[in-house]
Amino acid sequence: MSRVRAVARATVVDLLRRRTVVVLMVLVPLAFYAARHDLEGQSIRFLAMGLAWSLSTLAAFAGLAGQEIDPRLRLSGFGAGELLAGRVLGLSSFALPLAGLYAAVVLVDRRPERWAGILLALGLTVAVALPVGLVVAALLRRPLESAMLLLVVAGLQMLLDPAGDAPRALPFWSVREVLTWTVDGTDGGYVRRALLHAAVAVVVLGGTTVLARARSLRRRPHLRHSVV
Amino acid sequence: MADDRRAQWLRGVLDLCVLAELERGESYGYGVAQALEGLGLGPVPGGTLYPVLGRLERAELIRSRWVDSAAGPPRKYYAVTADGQALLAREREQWAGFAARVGTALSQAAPR
Amino acid sequence: MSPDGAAAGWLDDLGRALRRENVDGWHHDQVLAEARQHLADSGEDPLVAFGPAVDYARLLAGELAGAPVTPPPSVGPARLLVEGVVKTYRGRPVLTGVDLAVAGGEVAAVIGPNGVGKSTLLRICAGLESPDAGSVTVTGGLGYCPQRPALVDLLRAEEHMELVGAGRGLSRAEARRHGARLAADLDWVPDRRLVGDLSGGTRQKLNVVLAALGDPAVLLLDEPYQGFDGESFLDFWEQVWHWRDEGRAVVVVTHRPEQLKRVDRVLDLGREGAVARRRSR
Repeated sequence: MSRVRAVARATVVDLLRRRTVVVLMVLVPLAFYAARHDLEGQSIRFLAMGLAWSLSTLAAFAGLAGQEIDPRLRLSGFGAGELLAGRVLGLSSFALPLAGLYAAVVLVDRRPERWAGILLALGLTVAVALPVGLVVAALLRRPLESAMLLLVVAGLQMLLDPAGDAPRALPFWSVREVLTWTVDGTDGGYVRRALLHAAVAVVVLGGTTVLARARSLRRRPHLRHSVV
Repeated sequence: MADDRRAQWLRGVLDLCVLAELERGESYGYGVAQALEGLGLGPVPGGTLYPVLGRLERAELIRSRWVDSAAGPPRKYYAVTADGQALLAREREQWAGFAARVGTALSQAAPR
Repeated sequence: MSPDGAAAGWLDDLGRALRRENVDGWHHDQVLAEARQHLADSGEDPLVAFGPAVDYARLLAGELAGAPVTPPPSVGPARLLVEGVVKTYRGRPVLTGVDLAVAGGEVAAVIGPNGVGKSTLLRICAGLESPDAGSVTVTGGLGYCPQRPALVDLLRAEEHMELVGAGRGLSRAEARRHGARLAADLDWVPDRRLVGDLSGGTRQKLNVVLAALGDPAVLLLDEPYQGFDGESFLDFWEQVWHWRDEGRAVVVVTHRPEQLKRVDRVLDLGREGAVARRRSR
């Protein structure tokens, strides 16, 4: 456990030292929110997708930074799982307060009737954005490519009407679905579908990340360790 | 011709001269070459000197170490060992005797 | 041609001629380094000072042929055992059956020109890359110092020590203490600067410290002194002898001939069928 905490601590410290990034992280979703402040539904959806983009990009950069030093840490005695768990823990301890802040802003500003929907939507944003960012980092392994792909994903999710089939293939569909329930007062089926979609997204993306990292940090059969 | 003969003389005793030079203090290849030339023994080309240094080192009469120089690449310094000193002391006597006999052989005065 | 150009060309010829005469890697490097120094000091024409490169190489090879060859005696059990490692990279054979055994209290140097697979061999030993054939057996903990330091730019040196130390089971305070001691041996006092702001030489020192943290029994060091000044270079080698005296097995990839005389084994990957030659100390 101390190993997981050590990785989490390093992840958070590394993140917080990127001051400009932290400031932008806070401002981007707020700017999106303010841009369409005249429309309640649009502004909340923009906020959520802005957060989805910034958190997933952050997770991708944390993942990429980690991939540099992971082999060295693996040799020092860390398990591949501990490295990933530590990174997720570190990212969560940054992302959850941020999501809490935005939830507070919306709740105070809009006082929506279905306030729980706001909490759920932003919670799902965090839950899905972290594995999305980490899997992109694990598979693309390059910063610019990762950032571009995440921009496309979040942008499409924002533009496409969630009622269609195509947007269901995108990871943040569950967030859009919950927000439809929250803002437009649709039935509870929207929430159930959203939870199922989010669960599948987390399992598939998270599982792929675990497999990719475990593969690149695997113990190779030619190397035998004998204990004295 | 004279230079050629002198080079031949030197060839026979170059290893001893190198040993003696290193006994006076640790030095490197080119330093030894300059010192010997300074003694009037004529130029000692690297192609002759380094094989001698190598032979002396393999015989453990001298030892070497690489020393970083302030400017440029590190330099290989040689110093004489105890074996080297002992050998030099013995050979010095032998040479003195031999040189004296050569001197006698070459002297103008007819021996009695 | 300028005198420098003449010397460089002659030295290249000498290098090739020595290889043709089968003068082995260590002697080869020593002879070249010494001749280069001589020509730089004296400014002489190499042909006047040494004669034709081919003749000089033949002369030296003849001298060395008479030198006694020390058979490899066995010292303690190997802590690092490399057996028949083969690696082909893009259809080009890089490592062709490499064998190496390094016991505790021994230092092995891996030498050879660029691109012969020195780093690849170390990565295979560290388990970061798979060979096409062969195996590596490590007894005890393993410390690996990569050629390019894998560091996080926005963390401090001490934060790196804490992180790597956590993997080796050290507490944060222990890791910092041990790291500071290793750093002091390299004449470096870690400060609060971010690693991204440190000079290349200091980053390399951190790289070495992280590899040695927690006292692993086997240390793999891939040209760890790039960017070190002369003093730090000597400090580094002092540290290597110190590790040897402590009974560790140390492997150093190097292209500098100075210290080869003192190492226990030299693995020259520039030669066919590379097998470690044991040197008498």
